[in-house]
Amino acid sequence: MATVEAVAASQASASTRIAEDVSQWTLMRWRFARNRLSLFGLVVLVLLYVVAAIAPFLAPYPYNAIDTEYIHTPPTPVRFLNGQLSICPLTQFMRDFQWEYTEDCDRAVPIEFMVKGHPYTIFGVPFETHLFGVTQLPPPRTTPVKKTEAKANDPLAAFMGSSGESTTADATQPPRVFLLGSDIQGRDMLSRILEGSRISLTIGLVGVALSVVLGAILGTASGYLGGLFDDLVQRFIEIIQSMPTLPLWAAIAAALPPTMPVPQRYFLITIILSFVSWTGLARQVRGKVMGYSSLDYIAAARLAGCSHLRIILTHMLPNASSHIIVVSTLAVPSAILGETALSFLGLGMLPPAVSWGVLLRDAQQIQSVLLHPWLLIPALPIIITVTCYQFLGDGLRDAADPYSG
Amino acid sequence: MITFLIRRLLFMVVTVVFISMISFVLIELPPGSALDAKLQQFRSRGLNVTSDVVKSLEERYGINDPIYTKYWKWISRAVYGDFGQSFYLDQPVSSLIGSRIWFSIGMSTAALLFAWLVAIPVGVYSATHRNSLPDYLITVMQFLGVAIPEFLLAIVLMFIASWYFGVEVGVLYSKAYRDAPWGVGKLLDLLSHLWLPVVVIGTHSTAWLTRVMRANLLDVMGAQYVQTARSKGLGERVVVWKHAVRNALHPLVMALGATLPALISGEVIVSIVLNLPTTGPLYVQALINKDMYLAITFLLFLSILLVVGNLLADLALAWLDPRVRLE
Amino acid sequence: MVTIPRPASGLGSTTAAVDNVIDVRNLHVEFHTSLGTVRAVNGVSLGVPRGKTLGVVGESGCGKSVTAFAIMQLVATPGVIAQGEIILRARGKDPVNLLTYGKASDDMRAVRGRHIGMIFQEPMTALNPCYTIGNQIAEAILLHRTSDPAQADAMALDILSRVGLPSPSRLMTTFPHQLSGGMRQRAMIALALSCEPDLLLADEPTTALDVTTQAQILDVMRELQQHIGMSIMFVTHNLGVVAQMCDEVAVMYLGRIVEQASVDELFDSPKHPYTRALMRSIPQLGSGRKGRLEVIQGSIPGQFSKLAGCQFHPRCPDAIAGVCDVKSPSLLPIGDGAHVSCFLHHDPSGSPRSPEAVVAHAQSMTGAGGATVTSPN
Repeated sequence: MATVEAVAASQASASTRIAEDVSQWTLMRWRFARNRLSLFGLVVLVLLYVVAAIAPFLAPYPYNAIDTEYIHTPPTPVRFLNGQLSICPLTQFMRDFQWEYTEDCDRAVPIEFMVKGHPYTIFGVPFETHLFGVTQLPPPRTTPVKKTEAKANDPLAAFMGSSGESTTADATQPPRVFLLGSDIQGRDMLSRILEGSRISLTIGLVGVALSVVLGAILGTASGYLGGLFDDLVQRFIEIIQSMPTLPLWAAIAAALPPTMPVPQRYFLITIILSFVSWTGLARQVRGKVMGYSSLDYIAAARLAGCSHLRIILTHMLPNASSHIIVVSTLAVPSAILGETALSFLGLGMLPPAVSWGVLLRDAQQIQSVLLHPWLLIPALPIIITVTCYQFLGDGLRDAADPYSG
Repeated sequence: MITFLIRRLLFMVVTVVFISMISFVLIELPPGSALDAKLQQFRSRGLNVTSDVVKSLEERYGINDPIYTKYWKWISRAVYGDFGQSFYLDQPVSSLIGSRIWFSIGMSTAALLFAWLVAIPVGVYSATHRNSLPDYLITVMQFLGVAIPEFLLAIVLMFIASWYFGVEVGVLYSKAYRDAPWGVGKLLDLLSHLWLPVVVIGTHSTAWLTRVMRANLLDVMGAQYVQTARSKGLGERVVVWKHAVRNALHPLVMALGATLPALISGEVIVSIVLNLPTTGPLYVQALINKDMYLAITFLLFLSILLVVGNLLADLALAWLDPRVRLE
Repeated sequence: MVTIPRPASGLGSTTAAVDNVIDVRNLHVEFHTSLGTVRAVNGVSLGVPRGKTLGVVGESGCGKSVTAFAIMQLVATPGVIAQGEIILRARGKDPVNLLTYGKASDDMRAVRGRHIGMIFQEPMTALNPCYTIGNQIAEAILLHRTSDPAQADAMALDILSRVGLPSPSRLMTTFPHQLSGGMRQRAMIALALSCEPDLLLADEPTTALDVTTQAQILDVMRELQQHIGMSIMFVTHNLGVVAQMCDEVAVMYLGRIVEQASVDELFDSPKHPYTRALMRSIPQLGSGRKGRLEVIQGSIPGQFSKLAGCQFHPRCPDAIAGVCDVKSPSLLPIGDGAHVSCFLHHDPSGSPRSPEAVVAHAQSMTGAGGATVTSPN
């Protein structure tokens, strides 16, 4: 009997110990960790942000390097030749007023890693190394160039150039490795997507951070103080929420002169994005605060002589903080999509700045997309980012809610 | 009920007035005047635009008036239906907006209906067949539906429709019916072109609504009255649809108001991508050209659409839930 | 020992001899969770005599509610009825083992509401807020008794007035949220009785109500029971209600029945140490302010813990070392149709001990502050 009782007793005290000794945050972390999907989302997001931070390292070419000889090239296939990852240089020719490319695999050029390329800085530190690139020239031609059937005295042939072929064959530059193809100005899509991640991934965060500050403060004050202040704030929120979001953003964004420098524009766009989303957060925080402020411990704090500000800072905000985190995490994807939509319309970030929305602007014409489907690729990172934020937000919400399974 | 409606309508009017003021200020923000684009047009046509001409034009259209004067002039005529002139297009705003706003309303409503008609059954199925393979598939599609930006979906669907099905996209009527008078044939033709934009606009809302429906139904199924219903001997189907779903709809209808802005914004952007003759393309053009009155009126009407939609949503909620008392 | 006024009850006895409207035999209900299997009901056998009330008492988590739900086959997933028989002897029908019916089968649904009714603990949430009271009651009637809506309405009106609700015709068109808690509970009783079932399962129906309302509800239930002649299985943790309402009582602990007796017998001479401890823990009027309330030492073991021997022995002041921690007692008859599951009253081979042996054994434990078995008042 003694052993069983001792076991039972120790079991009982062990479980009470676990429940007592950990803080709310640790509990939240445990519950979150059990949710595989949100862990997955978190990992992928961290990866994306790391990629954005070291984007120029990963990009083989500068994002704004124009190359008229490589307009709208399809993604360069990577082949395994001679025991190495290589690419076959492209020969460009024109057929039916469209540039077309064929591969010349007899003269394959290897892809090298950790190559020296165009200089860049990361957080102010200059570097020159890139993850991969092609620096070698293709070996000279051993077989004659295949000529298209060019009839002599064919006026069209003359019009389109000697044999309609460019002379990349004997070029003085290494062939381009456009893993995701190139756009209408011959710029590498991969490099542009990598560069664009820097703006697309951060603009949402900054915008939401701003709206969180504004929303949390106004919402808490509104819920706690009540009365006329609360009424006014609520009316104001209702009016703003009665205006459709995108048209509202568009109207404000149109006010920004197109010639504004990029950093300024970035900053103002974040403000615009936060201009509407703070209302949602303010409303939710207000609801929570109104729930708390009627609780007895707040009355006790007042009786003990705490000032309003102190109560707000030490009691209300920490209690609402987990809720605020969840709502903010779920607000970031809308901000990212908002910036993408605005840039797509030509009202958000503008060239020469690059964001995923700006890149998608090139995909606006259906005819263009039909011919060059790789222009749609920037959509993929957007979808992945938004989905991962959703996983993350859902996981956080489930972890923060003490009553869910 | 009547008092509620009257109070609500009064409040709506006040809201709309405030919105008009805010919109006015916003559109007036950009430096430069509404006349700039027009003057540009003149100059590009080779007309000699002297400073006198500019001044008299400015006087005529009150360009340099202080903002409250402009606002007053505009609003006092707006209540009679005269929303000013589009400088860029040389047409009264009301004629430009007229048909387009009805299209916007129609497409937004159609998208809303589509979203509901799909989301409810799918959400119910997903909740009652939890953790099954179809449930997982539906969940994945929900996430994607929310994550994919609408304009992107529009492009992708256009791409697929055009490449694989050879459907002519970007137009509302096929050649045969374009100039034909109204009739059944034309209507059907219109519908056959509209389904794509409506589906695209509604996808985002459908995905979101399905998730909400699933979550709500799971909550409701744990409620006591569901047990009571079962204990009466009712079949599971009746229990789910008559008792559970009816209650699960409440938060959905409450959320109806929240989905409307997304629908309207979605309609705007999809119409831009698909180049449909509704509000979107013209609105953005007006913003870029600082075509002031056109832009303001668009924004105003879109807001009115939203406000009216919210009222209808509240009425729907009151009709559905006997616990809600309209105050 | 405990004096609470109660109506005179007949000689109650359980199981085979008397006509029981429902007989539960060796019922096992398990919940399979990711952390382990919880045996919520672990071999429960009981019977509800026709026209009488059986009380099922115990602490929270002892499995009494699950037993009631199991009779209706309404145990929520992940709960599963692993074993047992539930024999229903409905009026004018052959006895049938309900567990042979599938959970969602038409046969089972024909039983629910018609032969067995159930009322739940929370009146505030037990009625669907979207439909009127009349609609919800008529729904049950239309399912089981008639297909004429007008007739169903009339019958609904009738049962509403019989539960003592004021202006029943107005109530037909009111919504649940417009009623108070007590009225909602009466409406739920009306709903459960609308098809005149043979058995009413009452799962803590008065727990959520204040004392005055509680008394009214109990009156209504007693009245209707006599009127219709139905049996009631009354699940509760309130011994006072048991004394008022029940003819027979079964005491449950950790998924098993530890004692079953008529209500008089149980209150006058409780046999099982757990029952005795329960009785002692009730504050008595007139006992003054001396000392603390008696509590049962220890606490209920965790859901997944497996205890060797008698489930109660770690907390039992009378536990016999070497016996109670090794073997598990069974529910065996003792005296007047009562049953008890304790080695104090039966030795491990199953034969009953004489009352003198029981007293002597208890007195031998008194030195350690053991139980005081008092002779019947």
